[in-house]
Amino acid sequence: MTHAALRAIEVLIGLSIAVGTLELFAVRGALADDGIWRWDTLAAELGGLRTLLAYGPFQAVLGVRLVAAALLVAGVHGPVAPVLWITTLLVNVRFRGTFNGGSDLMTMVVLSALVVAHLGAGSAVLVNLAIIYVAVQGVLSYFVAGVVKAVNPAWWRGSALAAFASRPDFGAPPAVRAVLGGSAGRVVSWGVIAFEVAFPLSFTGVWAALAFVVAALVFHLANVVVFGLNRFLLTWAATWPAIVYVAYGL
Amino acid sequence: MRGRAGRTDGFGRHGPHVTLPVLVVLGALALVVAVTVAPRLEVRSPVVAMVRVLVPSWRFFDTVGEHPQLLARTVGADGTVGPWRPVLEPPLRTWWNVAWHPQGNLSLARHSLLDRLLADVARDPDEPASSHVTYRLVLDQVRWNRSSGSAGAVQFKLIGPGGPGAPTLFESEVHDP
Repeated sequence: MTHAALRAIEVLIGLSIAVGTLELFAVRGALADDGIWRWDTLAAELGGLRTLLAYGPFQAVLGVRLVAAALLVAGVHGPVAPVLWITTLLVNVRFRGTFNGGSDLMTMVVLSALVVAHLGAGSAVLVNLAIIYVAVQGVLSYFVAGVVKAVNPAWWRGSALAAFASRPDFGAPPAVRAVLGGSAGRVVSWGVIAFEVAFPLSFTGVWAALAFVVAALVFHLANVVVFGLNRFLLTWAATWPAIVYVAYGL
Repeated sequence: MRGRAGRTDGFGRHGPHVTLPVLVVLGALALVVAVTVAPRLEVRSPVVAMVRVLVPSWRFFDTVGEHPQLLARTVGADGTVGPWRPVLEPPLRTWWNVAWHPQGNLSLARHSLLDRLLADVARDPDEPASSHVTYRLVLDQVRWNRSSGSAGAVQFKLIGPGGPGAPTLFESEVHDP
């Protein structure tokens, strides 16, 4: 069971990183020296990392990250997880923090756990602690997100969700904006708060964990439709095997 | 013998089965709630900000914020100004965006630069806005969008939600192309 959970986490986070890296390659013009994140602008803060983060070397960093992600999916251990940890940190440093916000944070959480699990592969305790860490962070991510909504009256009124859906950067389809701007938006808001705040109940048993994982899948698919947050789907999916594993063991 | 669902107290009544692990979990959740609703710590160090990906933070969609829009215009050598035009158009959506959405994620990253510029300017009101790296990154966005060859100097501004008539939140200097 431990091996299966760890393997599922590796495959899902490897796929997530591979897709994210290919997406960065697809928009690399924005990172070039005549793009948005051009090196002569970034060098004011990152000049010491020129040999890694200037446009040319940075593409090599992305290439190494892509190969390492593929190796992780294929089941290769060795230095793969530390290489992914370092290259992912470098990618985020070049964007002065994160490129994709929360999904980058969760990627680092999972990679940190994999570094511990792979380096301590001979120790069942370390591997279990690594999986538990992923599970706890996964559950906390939903719970904390639910609490900050629950203490905001705009979320209970439904106006917060409607406002987010109408933000031009998310590009939500007009029909979705119309639905969330009406009374249905309030019901959806309540559902989101209830789902997220209740997520720690997933640790009460395997069936509860599986039910919350299915609900989470629907939740993230809805986030893709409304907000276009595709990175969150695969990245958070990497935490679900850990949550089910911990629920099974408790 | 004690059942799983409850235990008998000294008076022979059945009550909830509250064990030490349950109390620990509830205490931990209460601590998380307290930390979550506490005011956010402001990170001023650029070095710390750059490695903030190492510190998990899950306060997604907590406040609506200003979600500014970026407009730009050209300024001719004789001082004539063109109309303000939006720089960032919403990305088109298709079904395969579930797995592949590079333009959408780029758009989100570009918009987050606008939020960060407003935050930087608000945090250091005595500093020239153009001294912030985020200012230059937003200016580079404007230049990148018009790199197809249009001439003239450029100026950008950030406005609140609600379209072209919305209040101006920030207006830049005029910059050579």
